[in-house]
Amino acid sequence: MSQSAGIPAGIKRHTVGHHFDNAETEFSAAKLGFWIFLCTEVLMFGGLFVAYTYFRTLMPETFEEAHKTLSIPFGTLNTVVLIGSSFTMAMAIRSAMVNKQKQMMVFLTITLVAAAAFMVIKLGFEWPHKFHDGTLPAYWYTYEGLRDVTAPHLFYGLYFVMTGLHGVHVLIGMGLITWLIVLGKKGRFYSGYYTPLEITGLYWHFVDLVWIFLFPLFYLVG
Amino acid sequence: MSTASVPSSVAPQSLPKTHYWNATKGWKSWAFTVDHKRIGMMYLISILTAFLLGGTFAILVRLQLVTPGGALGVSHKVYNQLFTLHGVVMVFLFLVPSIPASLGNFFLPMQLGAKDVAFPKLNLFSFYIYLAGAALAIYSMVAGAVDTGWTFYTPYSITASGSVIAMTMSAFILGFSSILTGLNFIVTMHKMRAPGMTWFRMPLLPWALYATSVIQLLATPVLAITLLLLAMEKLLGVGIFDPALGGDPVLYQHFFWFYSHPAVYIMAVPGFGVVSEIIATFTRRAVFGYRFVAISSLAIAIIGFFVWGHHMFVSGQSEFAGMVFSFLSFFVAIPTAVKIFNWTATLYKGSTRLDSPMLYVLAFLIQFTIGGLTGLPLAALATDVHMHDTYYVVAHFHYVMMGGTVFAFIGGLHYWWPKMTGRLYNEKLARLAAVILFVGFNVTFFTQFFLGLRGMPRRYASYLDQYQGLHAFSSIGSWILAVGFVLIAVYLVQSLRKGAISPANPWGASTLEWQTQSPPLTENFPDTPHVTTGPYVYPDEETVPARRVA
Amino acid sequence: MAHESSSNPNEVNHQPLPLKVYIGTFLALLFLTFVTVFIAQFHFGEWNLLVAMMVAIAKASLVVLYFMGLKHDHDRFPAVVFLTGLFFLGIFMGPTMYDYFTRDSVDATRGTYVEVTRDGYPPGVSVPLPKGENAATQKAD
Repeated sequence: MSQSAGIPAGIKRHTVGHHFDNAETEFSAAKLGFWIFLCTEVLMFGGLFVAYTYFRTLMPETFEEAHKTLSIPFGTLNTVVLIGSSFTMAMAIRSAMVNKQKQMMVFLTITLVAAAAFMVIKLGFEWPHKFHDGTLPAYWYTYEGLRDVTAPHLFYGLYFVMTGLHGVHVLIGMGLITWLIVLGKKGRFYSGYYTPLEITGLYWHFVDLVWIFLFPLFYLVG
Repeated sequence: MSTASVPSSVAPQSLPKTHYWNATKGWKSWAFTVDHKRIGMMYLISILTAFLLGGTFAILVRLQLVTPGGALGVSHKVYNQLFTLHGVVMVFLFLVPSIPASLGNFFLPMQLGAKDVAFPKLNLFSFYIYLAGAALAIYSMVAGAVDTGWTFYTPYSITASGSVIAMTMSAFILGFSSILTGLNFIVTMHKMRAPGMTWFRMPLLPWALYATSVIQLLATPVLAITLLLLAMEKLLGVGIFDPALGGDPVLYQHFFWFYSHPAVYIMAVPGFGVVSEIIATFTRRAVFGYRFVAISSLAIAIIGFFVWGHHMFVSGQSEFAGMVFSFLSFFVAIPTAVKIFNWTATLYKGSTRLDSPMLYVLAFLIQFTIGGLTGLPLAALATDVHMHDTYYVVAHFHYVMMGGTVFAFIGGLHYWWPKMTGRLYNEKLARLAAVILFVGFNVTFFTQFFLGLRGMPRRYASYLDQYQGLHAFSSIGSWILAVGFVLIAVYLVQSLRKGAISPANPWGASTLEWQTQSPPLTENFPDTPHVTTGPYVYPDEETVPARRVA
Repeated sequence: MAHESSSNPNEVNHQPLPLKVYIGTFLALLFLTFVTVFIAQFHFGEWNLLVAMMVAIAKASLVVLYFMGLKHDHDRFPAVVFLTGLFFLGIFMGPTMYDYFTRDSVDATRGTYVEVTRDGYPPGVSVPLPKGENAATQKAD
């Protein structure tokens, strides 16, 4: 496969923090640290999945009927967009590792655009539809349908909290990717140093992971 | 090299020329520092302030309870606010960060022979997150204090007036400080041990901090989502915890206690680490059963995750789940007992010196044992049914949290005071304060076991006449405690101005932090230490035979 | 990614995975997405959930192993960390669901879910709602 090209001119060479022995320790420490953080995110989102499991077990017909009001086409589109952005993020990191900085910037930009598209689909199309129908948490629930199942607002409460928290994570990811683009423009990333890319990549793949579970649980399976 | 020296009797004339305190000057050098020692110091000041605040609420609570009608004369709602705030401040603002953020931040890298933690800037960020959470908590107290109890049980917390959302979001923010500190410590221990320091050559404080960090990382996120969901309940009416909207309040308790039970181990396990360090130094012996003590911290961390339902025996949880939780709860006593036995064995035939840190440790051994043993009737379903929500529970957890962790923390503060400040405090006053605290603590809380067994419920602002004697006695104990803490504050502050200069190793301890100057340099060690032995090696120690004939 | 010792201690020197690994993972993820959407249109009852979860786990595994690099990381510990997180999530879920399932084991009336319906209120809601249109249409008690 492609060899590391020579490091281009204009790249700002990296110096390791004073408390680390060498760059390899610094890199592996950063990765370990971030995997530990992702472990905490697993437990945080996981708590929501426990709540989901609990209520789904408690009132399966509610989930069965209520999920039909969600748009499978939009959900699938969002899934494809997010998986695509995961791919382009991984490709951006790969490009930095082989010193193809221009390619890296292109992939980062596509990732950012895909993330924005995800949010637009969610906030611009899906959620307004819900506000219009009144399929909302209890305080605003005004939906005329679903009158013969138990507490349908619980489904929508969980839906909004879980996809909302996920959406907040997407927004944070967009911020991080923007920061990477800014740093990348300054010539900070190359084969010798790409740790922020790696860490943001791990974060972004995790965001994708959560959606991989949210999508079938809310959209596909009643 | 991890060798102890004989305690130095030669007092230096002055502090070392350069140390972490004077290396750079100006408020910005502190506000933007990445030195773990400075960050530890700032945490120390913050958590001691929190302790003062939480303690004030405690004094007010005990004042109210001097007479059956309420000596303080506050309404029941205000009393509810007082004990809620006492709990919230003590748990979230003081106990959870206490030893890890102050002593841990300061000494973990030094005990490992490292220059700093793995992520120094993240460390500073953790501190600012703590301050932000604390500020929000103060705001919440002022804007309409919460009266739900520190447990925020639903459905009352959903409908309660008072700034529940601000208080819970404060705990949410503080949780991130806790998580990031734990993350930092684990990576530090994996990646930054000095050359030659294998895992089993680490002192026992790092082992305890590792176990604590594991708990912080696994449990705190669940608290985060619990409190976030509670906020969503109030704001959006999500309804999953509110029976009026079709939800289940017992589910809230599952969520809450899944964090809060491991949280008590976050609070207790660092104390175990400090106790190990002090016992080793003041008996001049390697801790007996070092590997068992090290691993038992991890065992407590793991087993502690399986037992949360023992807080919910009478909540409406199923009987079978109650039985499972009760059964599992007994297991957590085993690694804890392993520690107590090993510490006791270390004391046996050690060259024990009863300096002030050691007095706190001895008090810890007695008090934590009482606390642990009284946890067993609470773990047993059949007896807990009668004692749940009585003062027996209050006494139990104060014995482990205060008699245990706070005493360990104060002992550690004294032990490491010369290292952190380069000053020695007045040892006579310190011993006096230790005795005052021991007496005050036991007068306050041993009494409460009897109150509880006789049926006095907790969280009650007034009570039946028959309980007054015991309540008044307990309140007197709280005043004795206050005197003790004030005394400590006085002589510690005094030592900063007028205390004798401390040598590098006044106790003759063996761990790495004592092999360099007091206070330490910013980079900790002038040269990277190379470790060739275990952490507790005393060259003048009499070799103890491996087996004893009866 | 392979690691070679770097001559410069300030820089790392890692080889990325072959390009076909990235592309292959991406295509597999797309394929599995379409599989799960396709199957969802058939109604197999509870099997739908099981199949959907198995597909989701397969997709998640691809992301974790290849995109996030756990398979080729020469440091094994991050994998332990991630699996530990999942394990403790299971610890949380298990007894909580066990509690729910056994609520009526001793006394059949315990843990019975009481469905509330009240005129003028949405199903499952038994208190006046502070916000929203329904608040206005709720009859006073």
